[in-house]
Amino acid sequence: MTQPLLLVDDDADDADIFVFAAKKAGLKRPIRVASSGEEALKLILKEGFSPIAVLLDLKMPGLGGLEVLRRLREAPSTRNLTVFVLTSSPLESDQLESKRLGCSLYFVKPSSLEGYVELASKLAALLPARV
Amino acid sequence: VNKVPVLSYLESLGRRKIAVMVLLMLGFVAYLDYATPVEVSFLTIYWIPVALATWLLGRAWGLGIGLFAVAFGTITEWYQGRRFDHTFFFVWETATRTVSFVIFAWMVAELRRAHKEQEQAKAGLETVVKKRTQHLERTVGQLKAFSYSVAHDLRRPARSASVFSEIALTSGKGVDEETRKNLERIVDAGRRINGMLDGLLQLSRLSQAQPAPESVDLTALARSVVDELKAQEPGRRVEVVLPAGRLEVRCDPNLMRILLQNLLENAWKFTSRASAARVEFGAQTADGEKSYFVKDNGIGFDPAYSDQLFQPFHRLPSAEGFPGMGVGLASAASVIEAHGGRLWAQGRPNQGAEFRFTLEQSE
Repeated sequence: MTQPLLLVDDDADDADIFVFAAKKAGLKRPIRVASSGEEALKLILKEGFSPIAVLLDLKMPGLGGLEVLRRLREAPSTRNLTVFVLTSSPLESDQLESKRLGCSLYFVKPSSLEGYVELASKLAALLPARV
Repeated sequence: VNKVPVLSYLESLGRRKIAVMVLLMLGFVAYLDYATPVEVSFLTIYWIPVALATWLLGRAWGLGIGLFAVAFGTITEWYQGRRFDHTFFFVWETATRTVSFVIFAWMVAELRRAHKEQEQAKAGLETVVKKRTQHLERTVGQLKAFSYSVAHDLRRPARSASVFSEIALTSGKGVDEETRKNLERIVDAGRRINGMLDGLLQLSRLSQAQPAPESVDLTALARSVVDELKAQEPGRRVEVVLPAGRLEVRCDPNLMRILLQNLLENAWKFTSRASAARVEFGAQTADGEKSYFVKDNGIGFDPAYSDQLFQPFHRLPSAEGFPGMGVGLASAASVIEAHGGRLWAQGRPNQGAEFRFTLEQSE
């Protein structure tokens, strides 16, 4: 079975755009969407959901992306889980903090479909094709 | 209000010491008056302790010391042997002296009051200016934060509008011609909104930038910017003139790069229809002031619009058909403002444009 990719984003529009772009870019993995930081942590830490990687938004109501990342790093089972950040924040401080917490790549949300497709194909190339 | 140093020193002594000093002074003057022949008048010398008492201790003290001065003057003259033929002459003499001292003390008191009022008004004004400045600074700070967050938050819906229209367009399901055109318009509008928001965010970040000045060679910086422009459009032939030697200036290298990028890009862009495009960067000293310029022989502009050039998102009619959002020159102005310099432009339609800037004198 192919391990899915977990996308954490409170904005349903942005999530849908990514899913569409991923399909277009040929990213074959199933994509599961969590609409909040709490939901993502519950899926991974409590329900044993094991994604190949997490694509994390930073600015979310409630538990923010940086806090989710911090908690994932604290738990032994997810200490080495691959996490990408996909956010609308271009701030250097957010980038530095994400890198410090061990995010693999930091993406600023593109403003065109083309940009999203490019991003999805970059991710597709990075993730192993099969488990 | 000018402070007299002696007076401010005396004021700092405290009322008790001042009172003792004034009384001693009065006694000393009376002694001098007594020790000198009756022909030597001491009337005006008595004014000194009276003036000091009025200024430093107030009107009542001034009047009191004044009356003592009259009494002392009269008594010393009596002891020196001055006699009046008629009691009326004595009364007249004493009365005129008394009146003169009362008027004098009253005048000094009024002068003192005016002086104090002026001081208070000045202090009040300073407080008002300080308060207003703080209020304005706070408001400007809030506005900057507000414009940043608005621009940032608007990107989401703008992105959704344009990307979902694009998805609808590329879904492969048949849409009729009119719907396709309308969707294309939404995509286009969304892209424009996003471009403007990016510009707004850039301006917002620049307006909050704190320059970190160091020694920068503007010639090298301009050359690297020009190289980038050439790399982006290798097909274009532009004669670029840069200073022969180094041009050392104290400024923030990152902000200065943004400035030169915007000015040179501008010149590069608006010479694209010139037959023999020419862009020049250089420095000049006139009237003891050093200024730097970026000159081109492009489409120029109508001088009537020169004050609108640096307004964000404001594009002159002549810029129609050239790419851009109208953010570049506003960004340049922001950089110069952060450096405490001036930026201005000269040009004529179809006769090129010249942008000139100064940087704060490092003294």
